[in-house]
Amino acid sequence: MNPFRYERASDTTTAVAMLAQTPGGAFLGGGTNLVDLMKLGVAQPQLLIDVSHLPYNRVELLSDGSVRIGAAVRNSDLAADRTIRSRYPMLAQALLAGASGQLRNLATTGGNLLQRTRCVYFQDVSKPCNKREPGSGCPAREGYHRNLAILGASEACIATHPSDMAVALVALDAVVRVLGPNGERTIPLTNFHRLPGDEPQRDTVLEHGELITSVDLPPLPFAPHSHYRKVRDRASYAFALVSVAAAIDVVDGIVRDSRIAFGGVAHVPWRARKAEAVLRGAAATEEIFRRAADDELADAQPLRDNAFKIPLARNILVRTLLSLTQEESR
Amino acid sequence: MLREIEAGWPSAVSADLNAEHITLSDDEIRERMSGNLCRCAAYANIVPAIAAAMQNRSSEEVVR
Repeated sequence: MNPFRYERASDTTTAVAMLAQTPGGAFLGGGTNLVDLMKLGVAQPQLLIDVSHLPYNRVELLSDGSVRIGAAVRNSDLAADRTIRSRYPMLAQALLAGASGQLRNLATTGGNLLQRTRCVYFQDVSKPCNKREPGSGCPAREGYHRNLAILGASEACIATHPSDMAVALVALDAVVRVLGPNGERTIPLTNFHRLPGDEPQRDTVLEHGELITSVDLPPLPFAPHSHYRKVRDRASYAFALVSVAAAIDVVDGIVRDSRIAFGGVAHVPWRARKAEAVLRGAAATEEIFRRAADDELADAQPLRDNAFKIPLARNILVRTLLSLTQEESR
Repeated sequence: MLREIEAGWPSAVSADLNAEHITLSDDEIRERMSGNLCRCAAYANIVPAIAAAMQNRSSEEVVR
């Protein structure tokens, strides 16, 4: 392990200023991913600025009906929060489907969004990887890729974003609030993560020195009717092969609106806008659900060993929408 | 783990996220033990042992 400096930030402004002055530094939240990457030699920060104890540890209801989740709120606390459980059940389910109790007790909301891919080549410093070492190549295309992307990948990178939480958040139109050296800005989560293109080393649009302070969830009246479904190699404690977050509003058998996102299929939590467009105003039937899934997945470009993700994504979306609409008609 | 159940924290296998009380089933115990690095986390005798510990805990509370 490389030597590094550790500082506990006294407040956000100091934390941001400190990191802005240190190009090789990083913020430390729960450390459940960054510390692993340091042990593997994948991340070698010279300075860690601990922001986990800063006063962003509350889930607050705002006057406009939205919910503000502090960046330091632990995954366990967010999943157990009564407001989240009742208003945005798919978010609580996504959190509970991720990692293990021990990890969720440490992992923070902000850190969860910034975790890196679990592609085996990215995590192995003895192998080339364009994300870790731009220009070194991507062995995953010819190698082990059954867990990697089918949508939005590039020649340079086929990594997937590993978060469950972010899939539910992206479906819910969450907004990320950020404090940087030049002040505050907000970024819709749908624009927060990047497709790899020819710069796979950049996972998000955040600039160096910017700190996530909260994630805001706008009100969504039909979100209490939502579900997160995850398919993985083991029953528990494994990353998603494919997952889906879905909320749907059906009146008299017609879909008024929906929010859908896929996990495990792309470099970003994948908002399924094409599927939502097919559903809007259409009959809530299995045939329409199937067409919505097929439209979303029409651009999929599978590799040798991950084509199974296309029917898997289609089937879990159809099944999730069916179970949500059957509940509703009861 | 028992304290989380008493506090009504749901898990990935809880059917009703908003239930006031968690019904302790073998599946709940297995899911909540799944993150333990020790591979024997939910072996045959461990699941009933945890259920028994929970039982003892609740009967102690009744006595108090």
